[in-house]
Amino acid sequence: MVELAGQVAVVTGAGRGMGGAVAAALAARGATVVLVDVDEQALAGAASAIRAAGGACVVAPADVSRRDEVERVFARADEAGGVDVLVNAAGIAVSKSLLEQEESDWDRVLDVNLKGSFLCLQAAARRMTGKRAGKIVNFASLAGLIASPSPEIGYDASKGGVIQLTRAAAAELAPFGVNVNAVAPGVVHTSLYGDSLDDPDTAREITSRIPLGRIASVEDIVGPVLFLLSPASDYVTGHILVVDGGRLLH
Amino acid sequence: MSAAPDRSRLDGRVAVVTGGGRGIGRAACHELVALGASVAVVDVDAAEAERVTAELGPGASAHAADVTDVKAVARAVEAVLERHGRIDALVACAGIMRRGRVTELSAEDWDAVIASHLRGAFACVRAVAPGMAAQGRGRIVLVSSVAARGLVDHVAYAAAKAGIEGMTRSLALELGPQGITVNAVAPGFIDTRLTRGIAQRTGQAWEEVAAAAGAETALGRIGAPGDVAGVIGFFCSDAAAFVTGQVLVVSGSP
Repeated sequence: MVELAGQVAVVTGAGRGMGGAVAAALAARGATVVLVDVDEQALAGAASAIRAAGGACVVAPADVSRRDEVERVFARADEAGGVDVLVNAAGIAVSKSLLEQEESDWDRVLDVNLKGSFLCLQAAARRMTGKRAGKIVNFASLAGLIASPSPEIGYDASKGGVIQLTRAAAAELAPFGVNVNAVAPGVVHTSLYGDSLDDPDTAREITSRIPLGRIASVEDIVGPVLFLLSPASDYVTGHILVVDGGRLLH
Repeated sequence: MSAAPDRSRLDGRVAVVTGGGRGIGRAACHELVALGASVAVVDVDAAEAERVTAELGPGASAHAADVTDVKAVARAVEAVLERHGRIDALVACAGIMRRGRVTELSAEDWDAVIASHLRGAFACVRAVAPGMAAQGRGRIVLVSSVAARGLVDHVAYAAAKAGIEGMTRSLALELGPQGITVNAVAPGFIDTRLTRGIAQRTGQAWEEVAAAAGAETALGRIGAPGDVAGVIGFFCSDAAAFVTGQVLVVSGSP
């Protein structure tokens, strides 16, 4: 069991999906979780679920692409006792190919997925280097590693960026005892995919390329994130942990 | 508060660890037992297998086998099944290293290194895969090395470890539909008899070698066998249920 009693974890994208599940798992292990999401209503729901289960959390609504809002989030974390863990799970997608994508689509996706990860990473790192300890997990994606059959050009580029952000930050922060890693999920049952996975043909087409023969559940991603936050991965940094059921091998 | 079931635990699971008598293998045995598993320790050195088994306590068993001997591996796996009833995880750590420039390394040394890693892993996977497939569930963890990227004066070892990575990906594709995940760890410089042996042969003090190797890493230290064992434990657990075909570098550097 990853025991996190007394630790403060900032989780972005905590209102739903993988970020929400990671936040709940960290709270269940004793961490005080600073819940960050741009959707205040989703955030309130996530917070009440955590509190109903006996966990501790701080609600910190913010758009992670805005530095002033990110600074406010980390000020809340400081009040809660300082930042021990950061999970950068906030992310958006615009399902448009290169030929269709508007400049504004590109800017928004890159702002949230890549700049947002950078702003939170920088704010966390400035605090963690001082106490020479910390664990950071970014959310990359299989879409950052391979060309997707249904390209979302900005999303794919943003996740490629997150991968190199992870490696570069890991190299810079390692001397301070701060580990930076990423998970790279394949297709996961979350709202990011809307209801497209409900279509049997789509689901079959996706599953046929996955050696383990199924689409990931949110819990399939939570386990690897918890591993990267645990002492079991203390000698692992800058790693992109692909969690895709073997899809990448095809 | 009540948490969901802890997917990192291995209670009730049975793991076979080859090369379990020392180094990373021995640390893996201890980690898996700490996570709740019963462990079968396989080593070519019967005394070392017995010694580690005694450390692990009553749930463990010792099995002497040379992993390059396909029949001996099959017999050891039979004995494990008889003793423990099932095999949920295979951790294949057995393997040797021979240093030497390509013009100096003997063909016999080349064969011995390649066989210990590749024929050894092949024999072990072959022996455990049918049972795992019948269960519809299994975990295989192979041991590569950062040397797979290339390591001066270790051409056979580097080739063997690169081979392990190819095996990992091929086996993940082949065995995934049966519910078996196959992953590898790729350790960097870890404090084991293997690395201490290199220091000894070059006539340097271990402390100096360890300090110099540690300074080469981003985290500023060499690894302990337990650092690798923690990752092996993760791969064997349900927390890694959807991770397959991966090589996880455990080197203290990006």
